[in-house]
Amino acid sequence: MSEHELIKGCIEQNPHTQRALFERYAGKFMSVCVRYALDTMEAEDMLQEGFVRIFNNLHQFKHEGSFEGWMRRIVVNVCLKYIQKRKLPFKDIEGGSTQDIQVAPYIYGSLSEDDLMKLISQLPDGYRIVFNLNVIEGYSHEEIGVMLGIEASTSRSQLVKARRMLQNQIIKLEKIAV
Amino acid sequence: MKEFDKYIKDNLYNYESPVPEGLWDRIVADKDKKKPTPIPFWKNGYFQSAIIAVIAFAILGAANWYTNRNTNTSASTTQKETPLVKTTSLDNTASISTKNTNVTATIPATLTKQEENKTVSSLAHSAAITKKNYDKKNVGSPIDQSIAKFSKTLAHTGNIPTELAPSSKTKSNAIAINSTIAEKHIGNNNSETSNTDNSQINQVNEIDNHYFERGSIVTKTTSLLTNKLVSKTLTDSKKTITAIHLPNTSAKNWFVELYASPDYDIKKVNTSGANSFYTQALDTAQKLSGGFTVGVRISKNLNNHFSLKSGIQFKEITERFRYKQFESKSLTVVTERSYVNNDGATISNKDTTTYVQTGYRLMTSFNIYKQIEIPVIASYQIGSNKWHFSANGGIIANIASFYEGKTFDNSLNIAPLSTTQQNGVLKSTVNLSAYAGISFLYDIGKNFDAFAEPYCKYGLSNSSNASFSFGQRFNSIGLNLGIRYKIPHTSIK
Repeated sequence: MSEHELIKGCIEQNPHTQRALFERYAGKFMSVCVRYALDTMEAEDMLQEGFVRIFNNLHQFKHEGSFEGWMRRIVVNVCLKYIQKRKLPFKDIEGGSTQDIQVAPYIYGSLSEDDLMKLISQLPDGYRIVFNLNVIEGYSHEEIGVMLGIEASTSRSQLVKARRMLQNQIIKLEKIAV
Repeated sequence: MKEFDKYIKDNLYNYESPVPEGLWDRIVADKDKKKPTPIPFWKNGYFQSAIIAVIAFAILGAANWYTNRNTNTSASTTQKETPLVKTTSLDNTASISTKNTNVTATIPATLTKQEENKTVSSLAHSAAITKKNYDKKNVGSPIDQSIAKFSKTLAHTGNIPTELAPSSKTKSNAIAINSTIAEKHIGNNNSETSNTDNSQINQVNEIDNHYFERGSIVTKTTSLLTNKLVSKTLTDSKKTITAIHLPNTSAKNWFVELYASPDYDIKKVNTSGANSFYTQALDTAQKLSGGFTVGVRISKNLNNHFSLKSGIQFKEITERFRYKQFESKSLTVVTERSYVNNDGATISNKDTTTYVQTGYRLMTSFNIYKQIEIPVIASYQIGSNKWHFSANGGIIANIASFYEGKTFDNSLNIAPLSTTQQNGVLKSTVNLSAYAGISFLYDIGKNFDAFAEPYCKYGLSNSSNASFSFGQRFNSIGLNLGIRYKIPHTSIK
């Protein structure tokens, strides 16, 4: 079924088409939710609400840009809504230098996707959210600032620290492996 | 760094996590619960503004039409509406024109030479008017003046002017008072009220051409401004005109209205180039927290029902603005340790650590919007002696705005909201709103009414500067509570 047929069928509230859309994108969007959620239960709730919003607002899709990108944005917005309910604190948890640690590509190249997901899930909330939004979703720091109600500079510093923390974890993993 | 980010994104952007079973069933159940309800068309802003505009224009148009209709038809006569015509008279018709009156009326009278009593229909303000009272000192209205002149003429001539309708076998007496017929002026001179049939016929024809349908029976009755007839009996022998009249029409009344209203304001923001993040941030930060309006209006009755109001009013809106003020605090900790080494020497060691903590403080400020407005309102009023109700519709022009406070600039930094700023968010030029309301008036004493007027005001244009990346307009719902004072006629003159 083509993307156009999917959209048309979903707008017409065709249950088979809606199911097809769900099955096509649920895995991808579940991974998005998992990266933002505290646990799997919360990720399920996020995904559920995300799909409900997608189905209810599909008639507003103007075929400008990627359909998947449009849906992904909705899912991310739902995730952020959940995060805002938690009153996420954005504060430094450690002081000292913010210089990046250089990690050789061969080290992180050996990590699987599951390993990366686990590493990201271990990041503190603030770091993880900013890292997800900037590195994976591609939002700018200004956009992240508005979405989370923080300064763009805060977003930048959170990202640097998140990246450094992630690289530290990778190096530790490498040492353990050796 | 870029390679690391790219690696993460490449691996995780399309990564698929296992979807728990039963999630689709939950989505289906949730989806059916949360089906979006379509917005009713009557809640659509454009529809509401269109309705308000249509009502306002309809009221204005009806007022205009009704007023013109009264002017044009006040002299029309119909056979059906002639309860006052008692007899037919061949030669008794008089036409009186005054230059000074702006009231158009035809006053038919039944005047017979054989009978002493003459019945005159007239719009009058007094209950009983004796002829001797028709001197210039006591005559109040132009109509009264005309009647006085006519009475005087009757006294001088002893003749009743005649009006002959060409196609009618019925003849009656009529007094036509009209400002538009200024050519004929009947004074004390007998010659101006001609005794000859020809001159009288000419006068009648002139009136006939202006006011009466050709071939109709002339001057049986009159349709007055209030559509209520006032009859007078004119007795030649006693030189008295007796008038039976209706209560004083309010068509000439002027009023002053003082009012104040608590307002519930609604701000509507629409993006015009701004990204959704910006408007979302504004929505989150700003919340209107009430306002009020005080004003004074002058009201002029056009007739018994319609009136026009205008004046000046002051409106103030308060808006709460909450924002996050980010702060970074650094804490330096110096740890000093002393220990004794193997040689017995004491060694001290200082370790300095700096912690930087970034957080935000939730700040609240209040933005004040002050506006000076000119209302132009048409009103249709009905009611009894004690209670009156009126429907009001019109336009409110915001002629000046003053504001101060804080807002976001395009970069979402805190910017001052001030009238004096060159890059002010709001414009201070004329801005229009549609107005609709219903008034409930209660007579609380001589010349005074108390009124309550629930109303709604809908912004027709943005109050923000076009150069700014979003448009905002204010809509209001309020309840005007005030006093209406009827200005006495003497003070107007």
